[in-house]
Amino acid sequence: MTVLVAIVAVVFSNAVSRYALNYSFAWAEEIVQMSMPWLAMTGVFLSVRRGTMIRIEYFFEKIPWRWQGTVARFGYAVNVGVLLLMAWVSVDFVRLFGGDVALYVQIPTAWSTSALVFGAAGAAMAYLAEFHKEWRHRRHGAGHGGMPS
Amino acid sequence: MTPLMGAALSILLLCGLLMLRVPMLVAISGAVFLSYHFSGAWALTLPQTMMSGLSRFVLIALPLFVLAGGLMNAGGISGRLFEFARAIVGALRGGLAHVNVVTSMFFGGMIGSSTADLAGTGSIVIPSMKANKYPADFAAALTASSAGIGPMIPPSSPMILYSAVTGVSLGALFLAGVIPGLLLGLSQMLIVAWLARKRGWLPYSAFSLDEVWRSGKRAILSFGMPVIIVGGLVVGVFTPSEAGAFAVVYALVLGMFVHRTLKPKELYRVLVNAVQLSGELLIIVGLSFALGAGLTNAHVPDFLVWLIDQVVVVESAYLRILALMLLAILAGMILDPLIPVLLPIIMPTLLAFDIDLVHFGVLMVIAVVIGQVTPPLAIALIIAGRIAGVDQMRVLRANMPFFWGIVVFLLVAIAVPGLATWLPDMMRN
Repeated sequence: MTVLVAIVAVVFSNAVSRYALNYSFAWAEEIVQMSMPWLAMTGVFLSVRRGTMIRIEYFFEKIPWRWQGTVARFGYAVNVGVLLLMAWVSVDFVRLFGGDVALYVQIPTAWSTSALVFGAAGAAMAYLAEFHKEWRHRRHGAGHGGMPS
Repeated sequence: MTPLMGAALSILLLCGLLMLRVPMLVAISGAVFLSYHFSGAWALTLPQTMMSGLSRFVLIALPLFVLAGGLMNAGGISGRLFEFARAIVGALRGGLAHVNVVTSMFFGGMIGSSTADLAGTGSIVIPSMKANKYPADFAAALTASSAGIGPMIPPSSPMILYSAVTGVSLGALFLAGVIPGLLLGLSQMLIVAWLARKRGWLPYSAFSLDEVWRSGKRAILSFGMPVIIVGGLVVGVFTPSEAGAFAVVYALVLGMFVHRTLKPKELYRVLVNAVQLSGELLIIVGLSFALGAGLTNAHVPDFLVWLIDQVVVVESAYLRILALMLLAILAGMILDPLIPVLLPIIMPTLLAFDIDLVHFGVLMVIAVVIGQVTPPLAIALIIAGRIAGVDQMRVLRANMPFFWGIVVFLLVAIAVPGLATWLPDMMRN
């Protein structure tokens, strides 16, 4: 939330300052652009935790009930695998290019790009936790095996 | 295996994972990794292109307009706009159905997506229509269709996504949507008028200038939002992102200090929702750049140009656009958001055929709107059906006149590019 509030504050005050004081903050655009990956990854993490990721339910609902659990577990495995792969590749990316210094704010770009690592790894962990919860639920005989919403 | 076959496998993987209810973000990432593997591209291209996509300045407008729309919605403007619309068109035959459309036209100037429009107006309009003896399925269908006006009139989330992916000026796109958005609303009012005559629906209330004045005064400040956005862009005072920041501040001041309907607890909820909604869209846009890079490496756009040349044998820009729109509508029936997924694939084709990207942007938004009322996804029909408490299939049947209306509207918009391009061209000159 802080990231979004900060983005609004920077963009708004920069525009006001340009007209009222005839002065622009040179760093405004860069700092907002560097915040965007954090905003995006926070949103993704929130979506995973709330179970509101954008996905298509229609075809899954057409699968026979007894197969839905297996398909859902396969889905979990894909989610965790792909997100961990993305986090892994992003670590390499940050290691290779994260030392570059941003032109105006003079901080390493790793401050921005590391959002990909934390976001992807965090989302993978959240899916893993969901999977574990679902597995325990099934083990105690209460679940149907479908992916929780 | 040739890169083209690798790309075909990647697209198959994307469709397969989506059908298995894998989140779009994961499905696209998986497809990108596979396409890179087959085309021999470096895996680091994924984070690199994602970061380059995310750092597009125009994308900053997306969370800002989502937040501004959320604040306006939470501030209770829908009730004021509904009252104003009722005072203006409530006296027509089938008055409440006209009020539904006009409220969406007003709301479209403040909210950038049809689902937000539905959430804002649906909970007021649908119960009112049901209470006034309109069939519940018709009330839901009309609300779902009229919510499609929202993405046409600025601010528009699909247009921000289109601008980010194609690089077309967002200001030009926003202006291009104004006339088609208003005409879409007008076309829906014509269909309502025809149905009202056929089914004998009565006016909702008598026309009174006093009532127009009274409700207009209560709603007038809400119209400051479209004035800020369109006015600021036309006069060149703001960039689209700055217009978004001003819209947020305006909505905040209006909700908290003028109308005093926005409470701190509600403000926090709106902020969290805005981060959540825009965050995932932003990542999908970032990934769409990575997908585009992978498919371009595999020469998929060249193949698509060749394919369209085989299908459309006559040298006609309109027929080529029609073929591309058919593809967009088919994809839009299962994909939402459509634009960041499809555009990287067809963008080089648009350039090869020298298609006006502003005109095509408006057509793509119409395709998005059609996708939202067409099964199997039909998100607008589902939400409206839930609010009205009717089955989705009944809503789908009731929506047929409006569905065919928007299809005809799309054909007109393809044949008359000036509907979209006239306003931005005039402002540019």
